[in-house]
Amino acid sequence: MSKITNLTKSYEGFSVKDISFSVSPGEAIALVGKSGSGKSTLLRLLAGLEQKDAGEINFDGKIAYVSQDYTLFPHLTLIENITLLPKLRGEKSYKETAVTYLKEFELYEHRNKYPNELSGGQRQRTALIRALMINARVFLLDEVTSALDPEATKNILEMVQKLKEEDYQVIFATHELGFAERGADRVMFLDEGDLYKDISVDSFFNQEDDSKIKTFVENYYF
Amino acid sequence: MIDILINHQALFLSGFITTVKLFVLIVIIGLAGGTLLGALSSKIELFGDIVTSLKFLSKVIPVLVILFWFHYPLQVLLGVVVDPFWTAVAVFGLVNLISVAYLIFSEIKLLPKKYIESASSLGMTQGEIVRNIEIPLVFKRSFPEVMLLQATMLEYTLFASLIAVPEIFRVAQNVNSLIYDPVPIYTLLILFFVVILAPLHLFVTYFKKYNKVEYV
Repeated sequence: MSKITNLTKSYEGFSVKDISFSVSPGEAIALVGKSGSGKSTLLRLLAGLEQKDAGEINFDGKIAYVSQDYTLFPHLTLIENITLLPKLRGEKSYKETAVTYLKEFELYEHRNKYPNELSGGQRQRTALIRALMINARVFLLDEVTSALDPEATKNILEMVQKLKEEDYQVIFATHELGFAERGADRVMFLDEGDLYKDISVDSFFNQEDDSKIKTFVENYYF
Repeated sequence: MIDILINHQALFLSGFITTVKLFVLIVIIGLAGGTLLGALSSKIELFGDIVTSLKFLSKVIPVLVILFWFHYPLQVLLGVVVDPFWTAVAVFGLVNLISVAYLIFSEIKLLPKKYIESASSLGMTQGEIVRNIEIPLVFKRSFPEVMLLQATMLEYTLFASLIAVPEIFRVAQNVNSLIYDPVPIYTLLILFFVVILAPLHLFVTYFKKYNKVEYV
């Protein structure tokens, strides 16, 4: 189980305040909230891309961060992107593993294409395979469906469900409440840098008592 | 044309060798020094400011004026006499160095931070990021412009004839003053540049087409 305790980061005019939570193997957490609520900041802190001011981050296994614009390396082909790190680490059977993933996620025929020759969905799946190739156990996904069409979003949702089935831990930030409802087990609702609520998906989407959450769901669920 | 070349082969050969020596030295100074200075400029702000300022100066002062200033006034001010060949090497080498440094510096500045972050989040070390991400990206994106700049440098070597460097153009002028037959002599000169620069330009076009890196 991964555990985050009292995580805090202050910027000028904004801060992520004293956030604590845990995530178990096979569990997916959706970070939701309005724009500027701190979702991406929290993920970047967890990924180590921002320095925390205080708190403890203990991940149960290696982490992989996938950003909303995929950030595949543009000078490398799809297969070079996903095998770069295993190759640098001198791993033995990385080529076979890569081919297995590429076939599984229907990207094999695109393996020699460069990122600018791939669709948004293909790039996103490549980014997720790249994370799988480094043997990550914790996936941090930042708005990974924001630029995708419904078909590609469905593919990503299936990938998230597959990750859960295989006991990976997934934390994703999203604006799409439908994606959060189908992909997550828990929802962490952030409000101006505060963790306002950390509850199950069912409780979040059937909230009657909390007007803030109820209004948010009513306004942003399409 | 062949007759002229054969009759004055010693002169043309010496002019050709002088041009090649001049060009090779300018390229070495420009590429080695420029790459190093460009990389340093991205790390040290002062270096970046100096490169940017010198690049601006090289844009607003014609290279021929710089060459003449180094050849006459500077040597008078310093009380030294420098062989024109080495004056040309220094001036064109410096112009090349500043231009290459500026290209590399600009390309490093344009490199999106997200690729570095992505590599870092995957667990790559700083050294691995530099070797596998930064250098290849900067190289692939700046290579065509750097190559075209070298082509311009070869053309600049013609200016060296104006300070009495016995390079190929000056030799052609001398031969023409001896036998007055400008059509074959200057056609030879055209062929010389076409043979060197056409493959270079075609290679750059090919490289741009098949190795273009777009940030996505």
